[in-house]
Amino acid sequence: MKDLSLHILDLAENSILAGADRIILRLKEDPARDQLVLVMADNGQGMEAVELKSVVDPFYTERNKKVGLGIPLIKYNAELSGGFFEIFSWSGVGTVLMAVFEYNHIDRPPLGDIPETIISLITLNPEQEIYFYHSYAEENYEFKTSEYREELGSIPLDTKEVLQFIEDDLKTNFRKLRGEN
Amino acid sequence: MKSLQELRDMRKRLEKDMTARDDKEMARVIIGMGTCGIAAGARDILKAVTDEINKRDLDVKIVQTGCIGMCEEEPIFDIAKPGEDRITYGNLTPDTARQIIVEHLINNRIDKEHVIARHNN
Repeated sequence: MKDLSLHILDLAENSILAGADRIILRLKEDPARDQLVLVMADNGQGMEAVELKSVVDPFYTERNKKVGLGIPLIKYNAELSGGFFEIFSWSGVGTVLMAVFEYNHIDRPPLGDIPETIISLITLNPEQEIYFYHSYAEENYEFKTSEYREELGSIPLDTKEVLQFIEDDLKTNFRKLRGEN
Repeated sequence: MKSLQELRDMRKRLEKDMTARDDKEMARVIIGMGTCGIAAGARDILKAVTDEINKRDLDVKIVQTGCIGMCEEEPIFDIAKPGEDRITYGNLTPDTARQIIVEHLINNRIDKEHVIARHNN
């Protein structure tokens, strides 16, 4: 994966495959403390302890399990940049994962195009509830598909005009967070 | 949120010209969004496809699938038109993806150069 936004897209796909209809995504950039934290949570089917152990192992395979390299890849990237990766899961409840990176580490993957990742998720899963919180130093912004749904009623979120509106909104906020216009 | 008023106006406008979509009769583009697909650039392909479909105002549904075991051919998408064979295209770039959308969905020609599989429905 070239950047974090692609990791996020990949991990969100896991959540959707696990039957989640809610995904929470928190991204905390804290340059002063040299820390970048990514937390993702879903209400998918979750995993039993044995399965949970296997998802972080890139060499694990069994007859019916699909190849799963997404989690080992982000774990590797986090550890490579002086951080760590943790995943917790409760069968029937959901899964939470956390990846911590040293902000200024040379091997820390760049953020990438986060708005584009969210737009992709909405395009492919217009019914999905997504809550996204992004902070940079003291600044932050939130994005909730539920707020849009409230305003739009029966208009699906993957309608062309709506997607364009959301994209503008996300991109503006993404820039503002860094004090750009 | 940018402007609540703008969003409310949009709702009014869209509700007026909203027609019931019949998903069954629609052509579908099925994009591979497994880890292999995403790592190979599936997100850019999705953007190109969405853009081309919107630009030409095509009645097409975009859906996703996971890894189908042809990771080395990613990015991959299938085009399935109602009543026709489902065609799998591979090794896509945003440009070839746009070209295939136009050829297959508008001109009704299969872009043989990029086909990697064909499925009878």
